[in-house]
Amino acid sequence: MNTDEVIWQVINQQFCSYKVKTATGNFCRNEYNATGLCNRQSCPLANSRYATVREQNGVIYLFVKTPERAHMPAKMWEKIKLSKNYAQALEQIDKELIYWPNFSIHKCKQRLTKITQYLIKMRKLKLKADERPKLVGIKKKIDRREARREVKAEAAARLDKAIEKELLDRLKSHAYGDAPLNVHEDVWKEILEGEKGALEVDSDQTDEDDSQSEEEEEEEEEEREYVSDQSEDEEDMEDMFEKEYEHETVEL
Amino acid sequence: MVEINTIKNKLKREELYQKQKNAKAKAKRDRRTTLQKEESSNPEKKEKRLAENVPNTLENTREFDETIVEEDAEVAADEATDEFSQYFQNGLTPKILITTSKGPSASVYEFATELVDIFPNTHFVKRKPQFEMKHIIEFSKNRDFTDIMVINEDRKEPNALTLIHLPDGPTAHFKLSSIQLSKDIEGHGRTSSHKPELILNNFNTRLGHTIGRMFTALFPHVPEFQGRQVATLHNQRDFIFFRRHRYVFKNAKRVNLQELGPRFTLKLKWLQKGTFDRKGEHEWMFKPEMETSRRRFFL
Repeated sequence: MNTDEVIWQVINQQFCSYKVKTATGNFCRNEYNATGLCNRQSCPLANSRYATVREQNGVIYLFVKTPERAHMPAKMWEKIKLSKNYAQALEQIDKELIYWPNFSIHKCKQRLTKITQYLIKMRKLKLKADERPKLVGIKKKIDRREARREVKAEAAARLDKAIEKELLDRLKSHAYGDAPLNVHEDVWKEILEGEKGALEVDSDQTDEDDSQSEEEEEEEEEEREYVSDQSEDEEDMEDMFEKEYEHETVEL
Repeated sequence: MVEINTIKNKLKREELYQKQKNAKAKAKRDRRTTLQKEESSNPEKKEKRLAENVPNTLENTREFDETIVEEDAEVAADEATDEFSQYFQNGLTPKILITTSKGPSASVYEFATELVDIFPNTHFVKRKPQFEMKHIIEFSKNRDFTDIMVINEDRKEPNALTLIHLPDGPTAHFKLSSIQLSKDIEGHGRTSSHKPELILNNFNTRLGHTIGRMFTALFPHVPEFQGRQVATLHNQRDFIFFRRHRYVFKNAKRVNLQELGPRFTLKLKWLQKGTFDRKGEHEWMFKPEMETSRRRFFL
């Protein structure tokens, strides 16, 4: 017991590497400290009779130190495995620490309670881990690239045209039935007539001579003549542009 | 001829340069007018030119994908027995549950109401934090839902959509972008309660087929055509564009469209066999290293 006093004098008045001084009080960083405070009662170095509870890999142990083993630092602590059952573990502590001060018994039990609780919580969290949302990193470069490509894809899709085409195809292929509800009568008549016309043209071509088809071609050409009118207009326009160009060059 | 660049007088240089430029432009104009004249008298030539002169696009230079489906008996047999056969063969009416990720913000609810409006027979359920996805899937199975949609949120904006087909999957996860709600679309129409028809465009590969079938199975078999509403899912370069319109056939060649909204874009991120499972394997998953070329598309 004498040595205890000497050790405590050194720790308290001179130096201890486990001591952490703060404004509100002194703490102890020694793993075997039962309270975490730096004082005479709970110092694991300055007490030759000491006990604490620690957890190693999910198993709770009671660590006991006696003056009889004080001369063998390697065997100083007796490690006693505590039961998984909380009530039984408490009984075990009572049994093991019969001749220890009440302070030690009380602090060991408090520590046991706390450790049991955090182990339960850890196990629960582990079970829930599968259900927790997975976090995915934001890759800005890819996001930016995809945003750009999306804009281009939308332009290439020409959505309105694609939709219009698909709808007309459906209408013409009788996908809406022979008396569709979504078309005005006149339009539907027009489409049916168009089909009839196409059928007649087909039969004409198969029945009659090539001369017929030639005539048709001529007719087509005549129809195209109408378009050439426009091109002349454009020519005029282009002439105008040309003059403008010339004018510009003079200015320069 | 003198090299224009070597002329030291700036005025002279500019004058010559302009002359050269104009001559070039005139030559081009002349070439085009003569071509136009020729073609106006000979329309076949124009057709031929247009047929030959097709610009290269990403679509028509797409890298060959061996899974592109065209009238394949094997695929048809596969699809006859897949998870969607209940819908396609037995005519099951879809019943959809829409929910959100935990603790969503107002914008997610707004988007969810729009989704509820799109799909007939849809129920929105507020997500309570104590319910995990596997519980929700169980509940929905017991209540005869055919699909679950989960809107995910990040920084107060909807950013992903998970689509789970019930009872046996598959599960598809899409990135959600470019959301425009109906009210943000200028000149948008009001929706009616008619069941819309569906247009699916360009879902060509085997994967695309699966996704397409998944979307089809969200809509009822027989639309109400008198409503003239059409929902479109158009796939272009792996981006799936959603649009909704009301249409009217003007004549045999023209359709007029009025947009009803919303607009949004989906991009497939992964596809999982079976219902959602955080630890489960993915049948297909997008990884940046799969993008070996701009001409490679998966849908």
